[in-house]
Amino acid sequence: MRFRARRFWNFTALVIASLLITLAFEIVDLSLRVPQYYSGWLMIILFATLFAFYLKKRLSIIPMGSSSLWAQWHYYLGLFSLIVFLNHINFSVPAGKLELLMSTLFLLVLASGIGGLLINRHFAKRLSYLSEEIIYERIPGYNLQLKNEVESLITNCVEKSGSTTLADYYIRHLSEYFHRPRFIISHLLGSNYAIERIVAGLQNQMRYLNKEEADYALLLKNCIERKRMLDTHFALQSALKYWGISHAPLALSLMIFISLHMVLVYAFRGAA
Amino acid sequence: MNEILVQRPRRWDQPFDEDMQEQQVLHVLASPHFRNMQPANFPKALQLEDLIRNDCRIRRFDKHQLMVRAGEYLNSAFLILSGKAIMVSPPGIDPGLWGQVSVNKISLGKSIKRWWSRHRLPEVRTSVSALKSNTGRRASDKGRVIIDNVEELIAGASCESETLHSGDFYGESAVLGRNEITNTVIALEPIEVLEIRWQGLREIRKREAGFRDLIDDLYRQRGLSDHLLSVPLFQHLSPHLIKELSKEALFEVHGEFEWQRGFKTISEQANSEADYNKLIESEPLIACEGDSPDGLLLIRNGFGRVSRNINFGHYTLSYLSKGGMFGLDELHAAWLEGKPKPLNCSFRALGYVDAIRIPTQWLEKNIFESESNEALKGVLEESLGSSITMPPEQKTTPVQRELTEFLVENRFINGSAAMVIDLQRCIRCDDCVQACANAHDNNPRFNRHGKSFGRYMIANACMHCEDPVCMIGCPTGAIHRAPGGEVKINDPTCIGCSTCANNCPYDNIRMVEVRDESNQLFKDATHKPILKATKCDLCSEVSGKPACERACPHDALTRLDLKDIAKLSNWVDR
Repeated sequence: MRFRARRFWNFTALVIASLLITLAFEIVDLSLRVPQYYSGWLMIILFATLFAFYLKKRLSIIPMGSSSLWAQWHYYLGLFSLIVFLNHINFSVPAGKLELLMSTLFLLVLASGIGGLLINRHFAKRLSYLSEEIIYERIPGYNLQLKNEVESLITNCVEKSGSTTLADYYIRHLSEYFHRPRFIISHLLGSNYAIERIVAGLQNQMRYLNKEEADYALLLKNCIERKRMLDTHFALQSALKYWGISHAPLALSLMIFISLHMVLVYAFRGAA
Repeated sequence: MNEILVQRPRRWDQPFDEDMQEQQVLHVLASPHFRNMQPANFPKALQLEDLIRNDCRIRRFDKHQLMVRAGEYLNSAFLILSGKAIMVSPPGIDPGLWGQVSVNKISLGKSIKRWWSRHRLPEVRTSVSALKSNTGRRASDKGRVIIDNVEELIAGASCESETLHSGDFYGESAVLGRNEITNTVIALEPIEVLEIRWQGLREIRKREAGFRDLIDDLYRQRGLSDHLLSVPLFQHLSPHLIKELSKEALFEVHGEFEWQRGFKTISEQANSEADYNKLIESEPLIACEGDSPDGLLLIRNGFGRVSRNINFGHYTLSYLSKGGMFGLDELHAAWLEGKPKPLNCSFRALGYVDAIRIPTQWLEKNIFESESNEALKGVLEESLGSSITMPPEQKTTPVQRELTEFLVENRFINGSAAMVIDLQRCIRCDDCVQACANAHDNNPRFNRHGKSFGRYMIANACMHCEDPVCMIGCPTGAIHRAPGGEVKINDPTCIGCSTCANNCPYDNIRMVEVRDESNQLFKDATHKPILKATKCDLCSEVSGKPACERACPHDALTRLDLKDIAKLSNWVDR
């Protein structure tokens, strides 16, 4: 099935399931039973299923179907849990502090999940447009290699041209650029402004360089471009790698609070 | 890091059969073909006796025991020492009688146990000396199949068969062509067979002219008739016509059998479009666009490029591999119109092509003119319909055309299970790498890196090639075809010579330094590390799809047979 068709059918199923579950809770309510009891347990089952995806990824050795199928279930059950959650809190802001904290946590988990998914789709696409594919773990090595290359280029330039204009400019304005990953936010936002400033700065120096230095400046410009690619890879791949840092701990905290919530509900159910 | 000094593994540390004693060697030396060989033709390091002792084994089969089944990949050729067997040609006996070719899968419990007890250090081995190898296990000990009513079954199946006697070979075509065997062989009486693993066969063939001629003749004869029978166009012909065709058909080999040697250098040097055109022009030309076709070409092995001249360049339309045909359209049109029809495209060998040329006159007389044979007419129409020599715009999408160019340029068409990654969906999470490591004692067996075509990357993972050139030259047979077709390395018998890694045109085999559980590297007396060849084994021991494919949560990774361009473009057009 094509992705577009899959998305359409999954969303259709989600909408239908959401309407049906809301209707079911209404019926439960009309029959003078407590819908929160059912929605609560349904949420626990949903969370357990969502959490199972994490376990499935860790236990890849056990053949439990493809992760892509599990991921689809994870996304759509995650969205479905929002509907169940809204039913659970009766479409209103919870009054208790613990409930408010849990609701906030739930929404944060959901937001980090949706945000992560968007980051995945968008950043992966942007990475594919870069001229070269680079493995994340190798970026520091390439950075170091490039820095050494640039430094030797500048040394050669001084030796060959007998002038230090380009070398001085490099030390004052560019050494920091080659020293570590730069303009992370710009690269994440897809902005070229910062890097264009660096290139323009070097361009403005051209009039002060002698012929040999001008040749070296062109080589330096190529190095700037390469550094731009390395930094873009670093920024985008870091975001892709570490977005889970917000999603997974938040989800784990939510699970802990849910357990506490269950204990409290059952401890005080007589008063309810 | 500490080190353990060990003796460097050598070629014959693990003989093919430890029971091969002096008496058996003498017995083989006195057998047909061997008795005429000259020991002087063999160098001191590779004496004929040593080759027999280490690369051969004697196997015995009971009456009516299945010896080799069609479809299996062999790593050995067989010489009958005594007794009789029957070789059944395709379509052969119903394979359901003996079940499919078995592939040993480990249980779920065992794979969990293996994962749980995986080593934290990379590439840990308990020993580097040759252990009892899997390939050395006697096949007769496992899955012995007896077929009682062989003669009746063969008579009922209306297939060709040949009785093999003492001194006859079988399996030589499959071994030399790196293909699956097309015939089934069953013992007709208690039989004694000499199994020669292909490394040994290669050495003997290289040094003994008489033996080489015999093997090559068999390869040509049997290869030809087997192939003709597997071509749909000829499947409806009578055995008499097939025999006649075998005599008429010409056997041709174009390009180099060991094509991988030059390919790496040439492809690295090609940077511009002009270089690629030069590269194409350097490929051996089999049939030239504009010339009249000199018979129908059937591809038996290897790959060929179908291209057209467009202004100053060459446009790749398609490629042909085993089973492909070239020139049918033009020959048919010429027959219909009664005047010669020039070829629409050129056909060049991509490295190496093993082809059969069917003479035009025979084709016209027995295929085009056989109006009465309805089945044949249907097959002919089908073959003409699927012919690739039609103008590209009528047959393919732009994606297919560009993909074809990329796949042919890099010889990826050789891959039967290439790892293709959609870079627009891959989030570089390395779940695939982790899953691979989990399945292989914490050692990933591929590199998530490789050549890209737009958003698609062919990762550096073993593609389990149709023509596994990595197997050429392995001195111990450590790298071999599993019965299911996967190319695998038997770690204990690998001596770390790097021949396979150097032969692989795609850099998909890695040589690794090995250590023991206490992180001590194994080294030889000269303190050089002991190496082992490692690569993807397609998780063939585990049930289901390969771990990498199962682990990708973003539908970004798949394993594909790159000869199947339609399947690939379907995946691309998701």
